[in-house]
Amino acid sequence: MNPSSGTGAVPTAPSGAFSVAETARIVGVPEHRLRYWAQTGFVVPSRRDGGRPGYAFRDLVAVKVAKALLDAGLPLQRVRRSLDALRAGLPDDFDMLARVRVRCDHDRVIVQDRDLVFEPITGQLLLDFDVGTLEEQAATLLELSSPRGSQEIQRTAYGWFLMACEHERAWDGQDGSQESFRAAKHAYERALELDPEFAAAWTNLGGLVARVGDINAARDHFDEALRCDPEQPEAQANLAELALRSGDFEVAIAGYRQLLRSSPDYLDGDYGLARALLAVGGKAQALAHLERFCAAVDAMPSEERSGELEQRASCARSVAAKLRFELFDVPTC
Amino acid sequence: MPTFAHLSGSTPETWLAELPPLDWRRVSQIQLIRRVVREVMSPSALELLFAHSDHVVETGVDAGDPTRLYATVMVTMDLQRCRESLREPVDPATAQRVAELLVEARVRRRLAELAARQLSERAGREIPPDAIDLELSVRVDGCSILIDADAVTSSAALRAAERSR
Repeated sequence: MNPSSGTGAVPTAPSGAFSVAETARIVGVPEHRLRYWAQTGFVVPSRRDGGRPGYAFRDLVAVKVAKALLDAGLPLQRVRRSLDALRAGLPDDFDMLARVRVRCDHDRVIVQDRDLVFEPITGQLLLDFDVGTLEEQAATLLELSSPRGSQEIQRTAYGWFLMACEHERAWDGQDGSQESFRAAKHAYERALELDPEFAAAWTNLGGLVARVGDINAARDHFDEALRCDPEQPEAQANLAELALRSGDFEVAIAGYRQLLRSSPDYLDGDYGLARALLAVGGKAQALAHLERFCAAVDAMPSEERSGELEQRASCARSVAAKLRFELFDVPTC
Repeated sequence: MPTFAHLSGSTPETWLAELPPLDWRRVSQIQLIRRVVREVMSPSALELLFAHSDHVVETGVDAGDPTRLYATVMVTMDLQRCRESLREPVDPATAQRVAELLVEARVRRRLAELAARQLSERAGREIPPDAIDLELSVRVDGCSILIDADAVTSSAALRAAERSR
């Protein structure tokens, strides 16, 4: 790979195509949306890289145009027509493509090059970007992502996973602009590029992006984890918790029940189910699950209990006592 | 002694606010060996539950088709009644788990037998359990499990049952 930043030499990914993750970072469209667009035929990556979709540079231009038009409020159908026309009108030659300027002038999408001006189809304003700039962004990203030595080139999926875990431990868990966050995300993505069936990497990547508020991407990643490993308790717990936080209480209850069926000893199952049941007023059942949670924590050796677990157990005991009082007039523990 | 009188009329939000949400779980260690958990009702448990249950069976004849007989079977299993015999804690959570497990062939068979007995009396001839179609619904009320079954039989179903024997 030889990333370049000069106009006229379009950067290429190591395989000649950009991965979904790389494309998402270059054009600022979430990965789950890119996958959705590909599934629905809206913007389909034109390359395959070892069975995985790969975006050619001209696909990046199409994604960028689609995002800008949708952000400007154009109806999906019109954007789709604009893209079809745009694809037909864009030059194939990379050198020419990098000199192209795409803009919207009132209700026209205009693609402009030294020798070429055309308006693919009627649209509405707000799009004006220099493809050369996009090229530079892509080149910068590739430079950041490029292997720094032969040791990294040979890293296995599990090696990337361990590296990601290490970066994640160094992260404060909140600030998505920190280098440790970006490095952890990149390493999980590399692990998944090498092994798309790596359930643990999907789960941790989902948790990572959930912490910075990208809930839709997190849901996609947890779903992928369960596709690879249908009984992984962490992904099950995360999907149920995500449903609970989204106000989808019945889905949360079903998710936690499924978690308890497949992993009856998983502590979060009883605690999470109790919270979900309380959300719909199921106090008697919630009490039973809180009691199970407290009993399981009490049965653990004290050195195995984290501070966070102790705190939750303390809250659970308090709420259980209040529920007992409300349900049975029995304020005992 | 705490009274918690302030909690009367608490909303779900109030309760939830007292329990911190779960943080996103991550996998830090790969599990080498996965246990596969399969939950079923133990044979003795089914006997015990039916022995401690109340049941009501109502029968009738279809007004439009007199060869078609139906029965409604209502069974109430109160776990509190047999708590001394059970290893698990008797509470609404256990009742819920048991209710999920009750939708199985052995339970359907027991309900069909209950319905068959009453339908045979009504018809004045023997109606075997396998000539009965059953629609089953199970719900939970506290520590009680409530089973409602709609049983239907007809001359066609009886002929089919006889042929299969």
